[in-house]
Amino acid sequence: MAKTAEVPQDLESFLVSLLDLGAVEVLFCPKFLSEGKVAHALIPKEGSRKGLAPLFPFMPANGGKAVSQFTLEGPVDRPVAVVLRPCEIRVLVELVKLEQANLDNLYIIGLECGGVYPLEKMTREKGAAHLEAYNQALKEGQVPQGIREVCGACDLFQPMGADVVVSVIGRDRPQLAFLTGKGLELASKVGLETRRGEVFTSQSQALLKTKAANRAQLLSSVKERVKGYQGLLEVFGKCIGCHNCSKVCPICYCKDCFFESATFDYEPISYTQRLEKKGALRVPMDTILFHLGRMTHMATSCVACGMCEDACPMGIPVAQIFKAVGADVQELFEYLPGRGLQEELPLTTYRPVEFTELEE
Amino acid sequence: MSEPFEPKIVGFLCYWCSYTAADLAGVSRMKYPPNLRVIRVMCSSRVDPVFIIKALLDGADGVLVAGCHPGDCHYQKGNYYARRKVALTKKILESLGLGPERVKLSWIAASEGPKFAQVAKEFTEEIRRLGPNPARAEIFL
Ligand code: SF4
Ligand code: SF4
Ligand code: SF4
Ligand code: FES
Repeated sequence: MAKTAEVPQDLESFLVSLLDLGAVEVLFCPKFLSEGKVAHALIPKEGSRKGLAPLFPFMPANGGKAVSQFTLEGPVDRPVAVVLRPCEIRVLVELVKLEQANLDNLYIIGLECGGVYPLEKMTREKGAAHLEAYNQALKEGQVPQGIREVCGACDLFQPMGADVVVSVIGRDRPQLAFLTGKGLELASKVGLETRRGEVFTSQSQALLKTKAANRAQLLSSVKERVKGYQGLLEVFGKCIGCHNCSKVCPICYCKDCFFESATFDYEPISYTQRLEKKGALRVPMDTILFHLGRMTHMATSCVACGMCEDACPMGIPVAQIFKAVGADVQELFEYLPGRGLQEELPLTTYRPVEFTELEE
Repeated sequence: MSEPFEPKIVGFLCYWCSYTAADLAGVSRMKYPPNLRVIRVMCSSRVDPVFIIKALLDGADGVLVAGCHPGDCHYQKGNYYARRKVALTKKILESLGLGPERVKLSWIAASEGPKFAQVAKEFTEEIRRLGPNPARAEIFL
């Protein structure tokens, strides 16, 4: 149970009221560029509020990464409400731990998330064409057809770490839940009467079960497919090495990615010597190493948002694979990325006695 | 006729301990198999998981990471981090069915020449049982 209120009109007008009534000075929210095309935007008090699209089911960039762009050098100097999906909040928390973002002065409005469609659907077709079916599915607590594979298997769609939660699944009109002191401060500044109620509907709780089953199914099918060196080649063999997947990955924040460094420039002899042992050598080398190496760097923090898979021109199920490997390594360290700031990144901490089965 | 299988093992040995132990085993003329190709590192924590994976993708049959015993790292905590990195690497290999048993972690102090010889011997035997790394056969890796 929490302090809740229905949105007065719709979610957009609630967000505008945050600006108008001085609860915050800036709003960070997806906004329509043109019909059916959306991008994240920072909107000041006196700015253009037309075409707010907080619930439009597309993710042009992981919003957590977008927030790190304006908080990397330090906290924002005035109150900003940021509208984020659950995996975007989790990214933001990870980026704070990685010293790439700052939460001060931010009010997090977390959306209960029905998933997002692959970006291709926004660029090639009218994104809005899918809206009706999407909203219907949400109302009924179903998984909308055609959303990102990882979204269909996401059982963390009820946001954690939000000041205000916007519940939409199983409802005609979104409901707000004010979960923290900061959240309640917003409610009182815009003069919303709250009453005690459940944050999520029973449809949402049922969907949680469906999605947990989908998740288990996805993890096992990925492992079936990407098994051994043959399986690895089957899936990543067609990779063209563009590194789009890491460029759009919100967790891969490094400005100079290790895998684009001179470490992987070799002397001619490295190539010719290898030929003495192999019938042929793929050039450039290290296409597969990049993926396995990237996993070792960031799979502990992968939130399975699906950006990488959307950005892959070769249709490689990158996010599904990272989700599956991420699940294993996160379980190993009993770590859930984005669950809390107090949980330390697995590779920058240790316990004096652990993993004794590895020691000899 | 193909040649009998001789494992090739890459050993990342910490300068302050395991590397000295290997040296000691050598000068004391202890017997251990010559399958280990030694790479000296300044601390076991210097071994980025990417090094281990690179060795395996390039066809190494096994990878040994050896450092100072817990509590004895020259840089205080390096080996604790190394243990996590090896655990992570093995888990990723396991997830993808790439043979985590080809990677081994061992604590060998500078004075433990005999232990070094024994680890080298046992690990070589273990890898011999496992057979050649299947990555060797894949030209597109
Ligand atoms: S792969 Fe590693 S080095 Fe490259 S951006 Fe990601 S975390 Fe950074
Ligand atoms: S690896 Fe892919 S799914 Fe995981 S956080 Fe990065 S972009 Fe998202
Ligand atoms: S985006 Fe696709 S093709 Fe490009 S590097 Fe990543 S997996 Fe390879
Ligand atoms: S100095 Fe030997 S493990 Fe760190």
